[in-house]
Amino acid sequence: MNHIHLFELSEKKVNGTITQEELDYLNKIFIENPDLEADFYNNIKLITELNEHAKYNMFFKNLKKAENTHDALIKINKLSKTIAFRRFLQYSSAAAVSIIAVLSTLYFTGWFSYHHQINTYKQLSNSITTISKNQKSLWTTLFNNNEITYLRGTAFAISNLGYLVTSYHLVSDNDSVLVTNATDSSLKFHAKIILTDPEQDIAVLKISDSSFSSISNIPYSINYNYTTELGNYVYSLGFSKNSIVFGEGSISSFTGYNEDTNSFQLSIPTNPGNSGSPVFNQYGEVVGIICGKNFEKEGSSFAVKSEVLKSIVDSIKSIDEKAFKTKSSNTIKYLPKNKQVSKITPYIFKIEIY
Amino acid sequence: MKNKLSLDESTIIQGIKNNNTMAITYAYKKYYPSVANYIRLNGGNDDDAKDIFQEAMMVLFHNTQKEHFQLSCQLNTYLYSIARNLWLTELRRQNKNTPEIEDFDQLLSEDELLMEEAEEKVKAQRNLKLSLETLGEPCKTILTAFYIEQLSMQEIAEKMGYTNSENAKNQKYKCLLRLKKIYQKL
Repeated sequence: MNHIHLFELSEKKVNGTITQEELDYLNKIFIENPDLEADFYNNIKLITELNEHAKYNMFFKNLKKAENTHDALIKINKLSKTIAFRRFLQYSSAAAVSIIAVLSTLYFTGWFSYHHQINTYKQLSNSITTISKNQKSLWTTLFNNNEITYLRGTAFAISNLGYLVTSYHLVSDNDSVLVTNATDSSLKFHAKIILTDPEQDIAVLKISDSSFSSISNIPYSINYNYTTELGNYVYSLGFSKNSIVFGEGSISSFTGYNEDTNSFQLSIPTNPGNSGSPVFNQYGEVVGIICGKNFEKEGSSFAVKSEVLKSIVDSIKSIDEKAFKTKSSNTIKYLPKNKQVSKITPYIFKIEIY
Repeated sequence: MKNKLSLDESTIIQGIKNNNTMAITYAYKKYYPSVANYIRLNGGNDDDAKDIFQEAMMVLFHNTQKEHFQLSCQLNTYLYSIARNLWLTELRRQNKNTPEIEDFDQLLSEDELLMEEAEEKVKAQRNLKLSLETLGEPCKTILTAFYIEQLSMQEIAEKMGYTNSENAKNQKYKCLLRLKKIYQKL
């Protein structure tokens, strides 16, 4: 009995094809040689394992594949992170370069001298300082509050219900507004700030006194579609002093201060107190609102274009339907200049803000 | 890059049972990280983690081959427990401190019985694979063809150039003898 034959029989045993004769033969041999029996069972074990080896081997291979796939994915993830980081570096360096470019452009175009320029711009509110000299009360010694400051400016009516337009910078820090009629200084009213547009430097007030009911129909209209043409004749009425002052000139530039396209430049001499003054063209239409001047350059005042009033009027309409119910038509269109002014004057108000 | 595929546990187990590549890959991706984390936290490196996880998956595979295999817990917990058990055994083998053994044994004493048998099986299959790989030619080709490629003796005889299948058969038994010698040494 050689080992090869034993293996053959072992295999037959595993496959279940072993005959009774063969089994008897094996039993006889095992009694003679017990070592062969151990060999026989070891063979059976090995063959059993081998028979199952195909699927285990397959599983092992699949597992190895999965491991490699997993490793590869992790590597790719790491790589993409590195790439992302590199890209971040690239982009951030590009960003840095562009920031430098922008900054240098701003520097060379003089953007940073803006703060210098702003000093040359003056809002034309007239600030009056009253110094009380005679008393040194406990109050003033405690708080050193011996200066009473208020602003003066101009406003004009846009609705017969007492809606007035003025400059935002006049009323920005204050809530108590007193308006005085240009023709009758005994007509003093309190006014509320209805809405403000700090960007366009526009504020809308409404006369809030109970004694006020309405004003008669406004003789001028607002030209929302006015196209600024250099040399166009314009005039203005405002309170650069205690009584109304007339000023006239031409449109001298399409743009306002610092090339602001929402405003234009006028050659009307203006002074503090002119803020909020309406600018009329030769037909008595409102074409702008004076907002400031460049006090380093003579005769250059700035006015906000009347077109910005369009949205403001619409806003008022949404708050108060009745505000523009009475249509204001331009009744002074063909009147001579002095007649126009006398018709307009009653609708110009001096405002004092405390 | 993101795998949007989502399989439920019974599908994964069925896939593992049927040697489905996709299910195995999916399970690897889903369950490997927690095992790897455990191994790394307990004094092992990435290679240890891979070996242990492989072993745990083999144990799982072996158990799925049983007729009435059913998991008593989540697959993640199951694999994690096996991996932990295997790693603690490995640490014990290396005479390293294994402070967690006590409470662990209490936790999964039932499963350990199942595992011992499975581990033995996996070890046997591993050794068999190793033996086959170290086996010289022509035995390696013959045995691989018969047991892994599952060709008939006639096909093997033709492939290897034996005059008849009886010769091939004899050669196979000789090879089995040689294999046995290597296998028993491991």
